[in-house]
Amino acid sequence: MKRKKLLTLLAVVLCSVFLLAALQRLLMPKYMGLVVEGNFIHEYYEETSDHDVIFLGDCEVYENISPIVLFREFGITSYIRGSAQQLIAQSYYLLEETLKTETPRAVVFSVSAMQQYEQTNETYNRMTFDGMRWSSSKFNAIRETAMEEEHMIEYLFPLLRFHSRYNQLEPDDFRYFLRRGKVTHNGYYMRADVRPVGHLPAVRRLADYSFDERAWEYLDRMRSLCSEKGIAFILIKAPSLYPAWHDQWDEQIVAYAQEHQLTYINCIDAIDSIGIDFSQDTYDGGLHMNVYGAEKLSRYLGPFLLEAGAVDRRDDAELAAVWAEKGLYYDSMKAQQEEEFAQFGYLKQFKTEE
Amino acid sequence: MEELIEILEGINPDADYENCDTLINDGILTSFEVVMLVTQIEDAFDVKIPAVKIVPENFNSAAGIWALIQELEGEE
Amino acid sequence: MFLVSYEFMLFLLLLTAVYYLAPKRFQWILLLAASYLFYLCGGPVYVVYPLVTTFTTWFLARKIGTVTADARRHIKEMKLGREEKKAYNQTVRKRKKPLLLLGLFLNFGILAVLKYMNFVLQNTNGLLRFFRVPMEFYAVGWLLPLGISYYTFQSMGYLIDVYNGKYEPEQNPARFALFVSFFPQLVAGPISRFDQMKEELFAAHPFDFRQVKLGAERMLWGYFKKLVIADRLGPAVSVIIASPAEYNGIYAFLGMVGYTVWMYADFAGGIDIVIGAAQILGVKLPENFDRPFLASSLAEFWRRWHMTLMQWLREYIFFPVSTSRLSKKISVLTGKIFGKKASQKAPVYVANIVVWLVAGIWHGASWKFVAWGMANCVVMLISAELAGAYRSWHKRFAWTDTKGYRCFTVVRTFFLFCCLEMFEYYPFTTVFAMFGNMLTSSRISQLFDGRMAALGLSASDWRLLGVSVAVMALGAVFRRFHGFREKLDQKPVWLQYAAVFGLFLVVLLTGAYGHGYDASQFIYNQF
Repeated sequence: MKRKKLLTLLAVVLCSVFLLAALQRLLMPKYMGLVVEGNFIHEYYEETSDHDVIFLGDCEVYENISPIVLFREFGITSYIRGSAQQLIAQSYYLLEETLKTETPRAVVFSVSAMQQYEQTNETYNRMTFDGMRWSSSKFNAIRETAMEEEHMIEYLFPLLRFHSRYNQLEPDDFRYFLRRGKVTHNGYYMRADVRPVGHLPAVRRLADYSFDERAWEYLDRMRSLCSEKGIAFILIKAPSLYPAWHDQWDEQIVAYAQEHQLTYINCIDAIDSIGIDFSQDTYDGGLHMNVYGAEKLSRYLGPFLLEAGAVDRRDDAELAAVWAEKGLYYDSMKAQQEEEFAQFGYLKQFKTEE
Repeated sequence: MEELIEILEGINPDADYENCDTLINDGILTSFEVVMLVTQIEDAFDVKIPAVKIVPENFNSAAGIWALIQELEGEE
Repeated sequence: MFLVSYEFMLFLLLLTAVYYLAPKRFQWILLLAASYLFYLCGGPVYVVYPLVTTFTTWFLARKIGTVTADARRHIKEMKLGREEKKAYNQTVRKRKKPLLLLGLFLNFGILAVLKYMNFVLQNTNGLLRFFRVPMEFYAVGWLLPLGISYYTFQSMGYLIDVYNGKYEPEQNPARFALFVSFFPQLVAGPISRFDQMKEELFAAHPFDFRQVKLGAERMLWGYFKKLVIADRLGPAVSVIIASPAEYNGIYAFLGMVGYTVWMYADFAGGIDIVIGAAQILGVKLPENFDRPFLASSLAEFWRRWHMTLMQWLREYIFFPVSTSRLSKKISVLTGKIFGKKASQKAPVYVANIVVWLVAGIWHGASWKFVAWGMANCVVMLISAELAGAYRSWHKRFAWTDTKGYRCFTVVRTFFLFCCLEMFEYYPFTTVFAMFGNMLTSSRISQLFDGRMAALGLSASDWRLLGVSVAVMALGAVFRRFHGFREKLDQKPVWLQYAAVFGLFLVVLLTGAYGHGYDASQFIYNQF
């Protein structure tokens, strides 16, 4: 009798957990349409080989650097751990997580995240965290950067956050129920459409150009995490024309890099030597690079990375095979987007009602 | 007792006061009617019913009310 | 920490585990600690208020109890005669009375100052302006401690009961503290009585799976009312009632019915959560609602809505006032002018007015609530006057005994209550105009103009609301015949599971919580 009761209880619990898990999977956004940024973080876990270089940051890294080109032309294995409006604290905890499983030779951090320490939109947090595996790093990252009305439990059980999607389910939710499609190339978000730089808003002067104390603190923590493991820590500013990167900000980063003997590459100053043509190399009027801009920037960065300790791995047959497959996917997506753009003048997937 | 029943019927003629023992619980006597009842009992029997004694146990049946009156008369 | 929060559920879960693992004699201490922890979450300062009320009430009640016990012993030992006894009792009463009054003044005083100070200041300012006195009081920024109205009424009920010798006072201040601040009922009642709660709170509660299950089911049902209905409907209704000029016509009607449904779902849902949570801990709290919308008269309605408050008012205000010396005097006076019949009714009128004045003020520090109370009072008195006529009407026409007629009276009472609620949200001066507007210029077509969209609810929200309210109503009708949960308990396990898990999923998915919804707090929190 007692055994029967126990079995019933067990069945009830298992059944509930299974149903809830399935429901949660169904209701979570799949990020396979217009917005794909929610898939960036978790794709890293599917990697089978290690990386010599890890890029950290927001759109200024994941749209501007092509790891495929870095491997093809320099033999550098790399991965971009970036997501939309990824805060510096989130980059730190992603680095912490990454270093638990591999030790790269160089870590490149995009300093644009210094300008804003706190999250402004909960959606970005969800896109960064929902793809992250559970660990103390994730827990601490959420605690540090969650907005006021966000709860830890809603990250533990995302169903509590997305429950009201029950009447907004789309075909994608069923199609990608079991497995989502691959959307990045080692964290790189490819766009092969072109929208030249047009009118840029005037640069507004700020009352205060100092960075948040906490941002400095996390920059220090990233630096010491790298130096503990003998990893080169490189700072980079992407060559975007907007939003503005103020000289006053740049000076602070230059001073910091000097003080700690770090390499700081401000690509805005090197736009000409990189060879960026803003009528061809951007897909959104100067905010972000398209694939052509990203490839140029990657070629520019390659030598810096080799100098920082990355090694040419093209001779490694195993790695070469892995990367050859990545290359195929990269080329086919690029060809397909180019064709679509030539035919329609836009990319269907990313077409918004304008 | 007869006088009491008379008063009760004057307040609400639609109940079987001989047998009913849920006058309050079933809402046959509303609190309005209880207060009117109290005033009339006080006049008729020359007793003073304190608020503490106005509880369902005392007012659920005619017999209960009668017992209360006698108890109070005894105290006088 | 409120009843609808992740924190509360986690809190209850942990407490339940510890509660049933702990030795039985420590259970009540655990409840006391948990209750104060709950209170501390609202802000440490606020613990002072319930502590003061607890301590003063406990102390004074004990003093009163000692006086009573001494008197009893004296009477027994001295073998006093009837007349002597009476005289002696008078002196005892004189000794007890100051203690009672001290307690009442102190605790109702705290309540009055905290809750009604601004109301008084505002009105004073109004008077000053009227008489052109160049002086103004600034509003005070005191925040109300959680559930102050509830625990004050509950404690004062206890003090009065002890004064009247209904039961012995509690000797242990810690035990009394638990009675005052038992955490599930802290926020929104029910207001309970010490003689009912004593056994419940202090007895040993061994783990009983069935009780825990039933309690959890009750909570789930409460969350359904609160999250799926009240929190979805509330924001829309707030828009309607906040701008009577714009939302008139059929919207006044929609707002009126919506407000009533919202109030019920919010308050009764909260009470379900409270009673369910207490049941999980093995504590039985008094019921606060008995399906009020099935009442066939307003008087019956008020016996079934917020029952514990109405019982409190009846016991400690209505009866005492109606038998008071003042009422007697008024009764004699009216008797001289209007005759015997009026003289008998005078105490009822006096007591009724006082009760509804208190009920109005209790709901909030505003003239709106006073008007609401008086409106209820008038309707109650009129229907009491008409009671005789009704009876002969029913006797004369047999069809008034049919089911159809009963349904009519139920619907009539519902709308009567709805109309009275208008006093609660419209300013007194506009209530009658809105009522007239609603009756004369309501058109169905108004529902399809632009105003509907501004309410913030989608078509699927309205559909969901319709179905949920129907489920809630059916639940009430169904429970008329048998306890639903008890009945479910007899069914096969898979059916129980399907029913409970199904409801859980409905609440989980369609509940108006989390992002996109305001974390609205219980309407009754600050009462």
